[in-house]
Amino acid sequence: MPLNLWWVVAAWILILGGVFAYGLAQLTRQKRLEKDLVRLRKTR
Amino acid sequence: MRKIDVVLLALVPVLAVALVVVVFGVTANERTQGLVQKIFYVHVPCHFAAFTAFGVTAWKSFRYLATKQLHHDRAAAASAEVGLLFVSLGLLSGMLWARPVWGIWWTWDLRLTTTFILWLIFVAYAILRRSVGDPERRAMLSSVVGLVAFLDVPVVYMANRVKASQHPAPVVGGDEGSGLAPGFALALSLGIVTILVSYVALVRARMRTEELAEQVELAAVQSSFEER
Repeated sequence: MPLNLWWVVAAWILILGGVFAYGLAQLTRQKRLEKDLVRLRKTR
Repeated sequence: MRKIDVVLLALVPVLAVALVVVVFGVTANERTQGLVQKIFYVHVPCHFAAFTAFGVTAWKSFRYLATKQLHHDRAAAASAEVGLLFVSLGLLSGMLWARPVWGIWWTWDLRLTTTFILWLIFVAYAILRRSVGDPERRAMLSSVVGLVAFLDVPVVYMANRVKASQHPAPVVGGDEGSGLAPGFALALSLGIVTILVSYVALVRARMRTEELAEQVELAAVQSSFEER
């Protein structure tokens, strides 16, 4: 693979990966918070 | 999760795949830089989305200061956080582009320096939000910062328009003779649409997370009162 392609692949993975990682982190946190909310409402 | 959020989140990978196909399968290599110029189609949209995000932050900060309604502050904070993500990705992808083309990772020219200052301002905004506990005081302070911080956006935009620098002159909205070939413009437009849809999806997801966190906090307070 030509050297230039590595820079392109790295930049694209960084950006698309960054967007997906942030989105996934939000969804994972939402799931955890929803579980916490159900647990707290049950204990009341 | 609302239906619109599911649609937006599902649209992001579809647009991302379409962008990869258009940029690597359809768009020709640029004549002087060759393959490495393809970073352009994601680097520019990241900064475009960051500018949009900081504009939304400024507008929502202004709305908070005018109305004192906390939902404006939540929107400003979510937009600032996603904007910080995009300006970080823009800076890092710029470094990955600079290394093979300029032979260096970074230089303190006007465009890069003002962008770095913008990044620092929104890092400070994020730190400020985490260090003030009272929601109304936090909203007031961060609204002022969010509004003033936007002043750096036109400075970054104009930086390589008023002074020649290491960073290339703008190809969109630049001097006479600037512009893109139709194939390149199509790929850039698709890149901007992809990243802007991602921005909207991520801001909405971030706001939903914040809403849930507040509900959990409220439920925890209520249950601790009931235990007493």
